[in-house]
Amino acid sequence: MQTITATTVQPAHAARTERWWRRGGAPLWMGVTLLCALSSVHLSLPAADSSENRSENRQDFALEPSHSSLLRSWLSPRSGTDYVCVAFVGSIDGDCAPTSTPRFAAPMRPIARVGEGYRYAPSLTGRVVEWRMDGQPTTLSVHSATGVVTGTPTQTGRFEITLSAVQSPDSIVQQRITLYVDDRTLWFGADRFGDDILRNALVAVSRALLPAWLTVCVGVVGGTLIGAFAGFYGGAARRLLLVGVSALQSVPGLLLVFIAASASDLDRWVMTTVVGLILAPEVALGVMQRVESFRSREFVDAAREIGMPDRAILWHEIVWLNGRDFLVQRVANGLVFATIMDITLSYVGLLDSNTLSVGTMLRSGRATLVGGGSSGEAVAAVLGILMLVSTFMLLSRGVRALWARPR
Amino acid sequence: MMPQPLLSIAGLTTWFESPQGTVRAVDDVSLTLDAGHTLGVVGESGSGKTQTFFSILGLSSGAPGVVAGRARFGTVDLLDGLERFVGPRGKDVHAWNRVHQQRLAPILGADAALLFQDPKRSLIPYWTIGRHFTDVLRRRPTEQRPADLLDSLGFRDATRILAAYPHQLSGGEAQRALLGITMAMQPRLLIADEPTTGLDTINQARVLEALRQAHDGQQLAMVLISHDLAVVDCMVDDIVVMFAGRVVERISASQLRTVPDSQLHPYTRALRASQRTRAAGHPISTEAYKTPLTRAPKGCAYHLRCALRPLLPVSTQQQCATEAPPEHIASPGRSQACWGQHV
Amino acid sequence: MSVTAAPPLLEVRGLSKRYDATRRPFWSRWSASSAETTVQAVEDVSFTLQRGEVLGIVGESGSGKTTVARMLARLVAPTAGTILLDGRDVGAMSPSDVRTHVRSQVRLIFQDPDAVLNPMSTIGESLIRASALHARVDSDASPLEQVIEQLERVGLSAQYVHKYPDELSGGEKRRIGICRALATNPSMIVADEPLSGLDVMLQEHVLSLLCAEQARRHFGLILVSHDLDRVQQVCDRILVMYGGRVVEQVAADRRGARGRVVYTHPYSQALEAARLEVNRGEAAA
Repeated sequence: MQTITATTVQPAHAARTERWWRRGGAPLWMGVTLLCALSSVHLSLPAADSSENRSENRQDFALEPSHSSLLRSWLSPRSGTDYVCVAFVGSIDGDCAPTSTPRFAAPMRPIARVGEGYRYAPSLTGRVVEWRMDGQPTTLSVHSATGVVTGTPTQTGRFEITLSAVQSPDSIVQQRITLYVDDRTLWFGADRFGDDILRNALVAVSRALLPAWLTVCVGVVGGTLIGAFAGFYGGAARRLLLVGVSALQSVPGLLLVFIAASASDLDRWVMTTVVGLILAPEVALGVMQRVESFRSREFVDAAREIGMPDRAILWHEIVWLNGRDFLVQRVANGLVFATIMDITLSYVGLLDSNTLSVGTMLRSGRATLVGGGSSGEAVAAVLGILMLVSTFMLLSRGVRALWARPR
Repeated sequence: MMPQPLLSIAGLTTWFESPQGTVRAVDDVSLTLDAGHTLGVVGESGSGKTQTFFSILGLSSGAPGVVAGRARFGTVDLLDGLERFVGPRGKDVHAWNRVHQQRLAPILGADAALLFQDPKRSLIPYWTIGRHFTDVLRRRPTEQRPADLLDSLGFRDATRILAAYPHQLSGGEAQRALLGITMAMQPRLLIADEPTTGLDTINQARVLEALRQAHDGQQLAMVLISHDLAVVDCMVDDIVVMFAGRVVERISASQLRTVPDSQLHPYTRALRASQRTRAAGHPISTEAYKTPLTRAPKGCAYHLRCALRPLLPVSTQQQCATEAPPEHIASPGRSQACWGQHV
Repeated sequence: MSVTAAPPLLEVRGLSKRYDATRRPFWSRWSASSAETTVQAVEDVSFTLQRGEVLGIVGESGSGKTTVARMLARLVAPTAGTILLDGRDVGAMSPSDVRTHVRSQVRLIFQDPDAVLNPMSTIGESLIRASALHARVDSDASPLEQVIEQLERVGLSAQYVHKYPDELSGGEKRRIGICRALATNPSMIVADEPLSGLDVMLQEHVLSLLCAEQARRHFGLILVSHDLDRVQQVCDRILVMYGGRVVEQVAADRRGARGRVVYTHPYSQALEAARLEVNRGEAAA
């Protein structure tokens, strides 16, 4: 048997760090890093704002009028009409007249790569007298009769392009896009718009995760605070909690989400707060039960006997030491729940559909797959989901390994 | 021809796997108990006194458990075929446990009964004591009435006990009620594992009195396992002292009172001395805690704590540290395992 | 016992505790219909403890001795009576005063050694947390060194710092419990059944350790136990409790035949008789 003397016990930090790694700090560290990176990646990606523009550009194919728009218009008629306006990219001199607008069958691909040929053949209802293009990178040109845009970009950057089709002297149909030219390697290839699949997946995942943290804050932190107080002090707080929990649990969660959707005009942050509220009662109840079962344990008396204040006993001895595994599990559950909710809601079109998200990618991916197109978007969505799942698995494994008692 | 003993154990060895390595919980223990006799097993915690009986009755948890030995209860060979499952190959412990359990099923709770330290674990919490009796009497009909049985065990208010649920009884009452239920089964062997530990003095006396009544009334064989020499001493015919999984001394209760200190095994001697100073109310030595309570890894397990060893010749002292002492007959009916007494 | 002008270390007057087990419906505030069920756990207990004295409280289970111990450690508030510590009324102190003055001075060794340590922290963490509350200014050793020193004093090596409570045996846990109580250098220790569940050798070991520390530091010790023998071995004075009341208070130096303390109350004599019966073999020898 090893004998540890006072001197070998002393360098506590080194020993603790070493023990931490041995006990499975590595997966935990990786999980946390991955989670933080995924949550914040869309804030730091240089092309983050571009993807929004691009998705604006692609609106009219991504969203066919379908059940989702019906649902949306039922929930919020105003946003339904907004959608109609937003969906049109082409416009006639700023004048929006949906019924008679000639439209482009497909918008220009907003992404080009350095050294690769770019080609866009427009098709427009109605006869075109002349095609024009303004503000282009000088290497791109338009054929004034057919409107075919060709060329090879030579430098990276963003370029505003206006493609104008002169149908008659007083009717000009324009298409404005921002063209991104870059030269990065695409690890997972590009989708049919030429977007980097990996970046799309990252951005979408990160967009889902950031609100998920709000859900967790509302659900787990709020639930823990309420549950711990109710469990430790009992009495009226406990009764109030039980009434509140049964009231919240008697309403189906989905109904709450629908109500929030219609009341808040599909605001993502309001919706995630509501999802957090759905989570909170269960956490509060669980924490309360834990605290109650530990409150009467002898070590709590022992801690009090040595003069530890109640607050320290509750938060450190009970909630932190004996409830942290439960809480971490709830945090992970909350994140999973919130992201699944995000994917579902954006899939059915109940979240702001103009932004890139896993749900919209899944839907358009499905649409293109059904239509026999490329699988790019579906791949991006699946990639995003895989990233989420592996992050959560790493996290839970790391936490369990760290806090599992060595036997 | 000698009558066959009710219970005989020969060369029983039980191992357990622990993170620190294999622990020999029971190491080559042999015992016999005749019908109607009482045997006391004394030892400190971790001496293997409980494990000896748990492992022959298939109650020990953890693999591999029993690895060698013979045990016979009446006509049943409890460990028959053990070597086919465990032995040097040591593979099929689970299969052995299944076979063992099947063999024990008709014996346990019928011919052989157990009494644990915590009686409330053995009682069903939502049955009254009376319901427990009904259940036993359905399986083993007898003309003895539960109330009479309880009366004989020293209860003054048998009707209240019969109507009570286990949680309504105090620890001592529950232990005696459980003993009554066990008695209704009319077992031939009762193994009482620390039946009085955790009870206060008065309840301890009552439980011991009840045990004595049960033994006298039904002529059953009894094994009393305890860490307290005083408890065992006033109850049984023969005493087996165990230390670190081995039997260090076998002695009859009457001999224990008469044999002088110098002839006892040092561990038994320490136990008895502690008993005497305690009973006489002598102040406790404030130096006593400095003796480490550890066990030696090699040789005689007791040699680090042994008070006799410093008085022995150097060669014997070395023998203590290197070689486990064999058991030898010290006087008729008494044997011990100590190099110092092995002359 | 010498009578001095200074107040005794501890003076207990008329200490009582009643537990209210009545189940009241919530409207009982407005109607006094529910039947009262109360349990008088401790009734009118008075005694004093001098500095450096060892007092034994003996009784069977349910006699209220544990409740007395818990009231002395301010874990249970008494329904009546006063506890004077160094002449100051503990009951009149504010909770923060109790924490700073009483908690470090009066320490309880708990009956159940299993449950005293938080199962999720190592021995070292628990002890460091405990000693951080009553940091000693006189020592310049780090908290960890102090804890190791305390552990070594009760005969445990430094490697116990990294162990979890369920890795310890019963005797080791008792020693941790003693170590925990000694850590704040108290003037009084209440040991609630410190020996129950230990085998004979360990009982001796633990009791000897406790007495050695008592002799060294001279704190007042209250030993609560059902074991008359053990109490007689170490105590200066013995309080016999039955049904929540003190039935007899006897000085341990009043010895009769075979070195036994002589009792006058019938219940104490019954306790003594029950003990003799267990040791019948010894009596015959």
